[in-house]
Amino acid sequence: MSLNFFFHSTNSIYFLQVSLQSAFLPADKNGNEKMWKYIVKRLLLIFVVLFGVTLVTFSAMHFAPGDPAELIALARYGSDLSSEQIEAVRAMEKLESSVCIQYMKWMDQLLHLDFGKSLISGDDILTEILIRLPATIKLAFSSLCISLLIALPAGILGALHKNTFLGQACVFGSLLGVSIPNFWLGVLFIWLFSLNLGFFPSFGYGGIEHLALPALTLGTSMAAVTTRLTRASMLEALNKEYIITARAKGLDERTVILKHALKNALLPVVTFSGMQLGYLLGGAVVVETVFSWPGIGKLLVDSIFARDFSMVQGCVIFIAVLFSLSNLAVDILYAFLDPRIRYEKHN
Amino acid sequence: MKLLDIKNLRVYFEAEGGIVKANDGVSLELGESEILGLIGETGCGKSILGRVVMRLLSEKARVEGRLLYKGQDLLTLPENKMRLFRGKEIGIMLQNPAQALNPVLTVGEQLAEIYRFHEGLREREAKEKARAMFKRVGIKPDRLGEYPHQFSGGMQQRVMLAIGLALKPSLLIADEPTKGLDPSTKHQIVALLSALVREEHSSLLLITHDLEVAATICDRIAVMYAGEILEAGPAKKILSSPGHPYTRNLLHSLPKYGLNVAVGQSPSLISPPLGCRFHPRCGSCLKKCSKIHPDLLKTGPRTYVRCHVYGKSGKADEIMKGAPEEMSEKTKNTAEVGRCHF
Repeated sequence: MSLNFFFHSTNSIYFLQVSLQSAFLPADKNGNEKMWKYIVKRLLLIFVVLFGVTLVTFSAMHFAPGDPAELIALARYGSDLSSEQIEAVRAMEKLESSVCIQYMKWMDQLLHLDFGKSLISGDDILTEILIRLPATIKLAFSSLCISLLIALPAGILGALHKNTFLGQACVFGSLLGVSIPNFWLGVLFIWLFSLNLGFFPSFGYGGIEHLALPALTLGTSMAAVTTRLTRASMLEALNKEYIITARAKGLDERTVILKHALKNALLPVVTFSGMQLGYLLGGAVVVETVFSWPGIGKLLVDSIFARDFSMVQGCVIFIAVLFSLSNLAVDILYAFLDPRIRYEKHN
Repeated sequence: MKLLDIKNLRVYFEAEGGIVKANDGVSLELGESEILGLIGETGCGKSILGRVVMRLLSEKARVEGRLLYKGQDLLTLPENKMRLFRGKEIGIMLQNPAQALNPVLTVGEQLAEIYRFHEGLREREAKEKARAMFKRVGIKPDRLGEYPHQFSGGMQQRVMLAIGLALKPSLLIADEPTKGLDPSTKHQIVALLSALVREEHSSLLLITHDLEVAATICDRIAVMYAGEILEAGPAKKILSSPGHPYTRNLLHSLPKYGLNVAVGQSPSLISPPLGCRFHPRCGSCLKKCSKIHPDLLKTGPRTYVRCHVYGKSGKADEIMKGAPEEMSEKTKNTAEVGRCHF
């Protein structure tokens, strides 16, 4: 089984590499070749990470107290159970074989991209997740945009005017944002914008008016941390010698700040935002629940409450994949932004 | 004709232990097409002097005095006018090019932006000029697209030189351009620097602690110590018959004179010694040296010395006789061995 797994992964990555390489014809042969090697290495590492994730989720689900067959039957047929019903479930879900065999079978399914069926509704898990994916992606990107639209100007202003009222206001605002929990902010926004002002609906999924409140909630709370990071790295960049060189060339302050300082200061911000995006793509559990947003986070919470083991497992694996891929994307983006890494990292 | 005339310049910084007097009454002049070497130990305030000429210090610095450039006081100029002087009239090569070049921009862009900004050139024309400038400083023009970390120390210094001279400024300030370079690279850079400056008929303020470099290319030399000028004059005169014991000390500390280093550390800029600032380390100290601060004396055409001993009882040379030997004895005996700056 494991040999089979290895063969599958290396082969597909090789094909991926070849096809991607021909898609973007490399200009700088040497640097690009190193870059590709690095990407392939990272993709292989993702499989290792995912292997760990399957182990952990599987054990967490199966070593939890209680007889899984009974729990499933409980979820399916309600509290009034007969022992025949439980045994029927055990036979149907193949729970009588040993844990190892069950795990192997599950892995075999996963490698064929078969996440299995929901224990409760019987729906295909992957289909179910993919149905929820657009909602999560919409929420993730719009809240990231909101957060960056707030955080970048606020962080830059906070750094440039660090000793004035404006700068202190930026710092105070971001401190406030960090301290306010998501679920409370969400409820506050519902109370303010939906109940009192009637601007946006308080829950549901559909047009941009439904997206507004959850995206605003997530966006502002993320912006708080990003603002602090932007401010700190901007302050650091402004203290560097190359800023003095830029001024000595007679450039105006705008160019000095927005070109010479910001381009350096953005490096950590990009990494951080990318990680935030990865986290959001895994479903913003709290906010999706507060606003009844039909994303992956809501699906995960619902299936936990419904004791839908297979659905929980599927969600966790899927989230892990998204998270790993977005981290890889951040690293690649970082290499393109920071020339020093582009040439050194893969030696 | 004086290109730059610095009069009684003071640069003070607030620090934890008190006020750092980085430049404490510096007066210095630089003629047109002249190369002036500003020599001194690390931390004597010479780099600050280089930066204050372009007003590149942080807002925390308190600057007083007059800074006349072509007859115009740069210190009273509004910031938007001063900006036009930077790069175009006065260029600077900061020390440590590895940190003074922006790591995320290509070297070509860091040079070309000067032409775009000051001369309003388009992308292609600016690139073309950058190419030509790279050729002049001895970098292959096809390296325009590379990043600073891909260059060696000497090559980075050439990039700094290209940036400093991009707009053919009347004055170039070079801050330790030979720091951290191996001897052959050092000589190449110095030769290139002086050749280009002479070619442009620009003036050069060469800030260095390397006496040999200064001796090679400078017309005049000024010696700085603890925030003030101790001696200034024609390079030949300073090097052959220095008027100040400190300068003599610097000369004696060169390897070819036997590495005789002045005892002790350079003084604190927060509370410099009373009287002559060099007196605690001086081998020919008089009584009044520890009490009265000596003035900068004019001893010849464009020649100045700040020393009580100078001119007293005939020649300073006689007083100083034997001093270096005596000092090397001291160096052996005291636990606190003076740092060698060369």
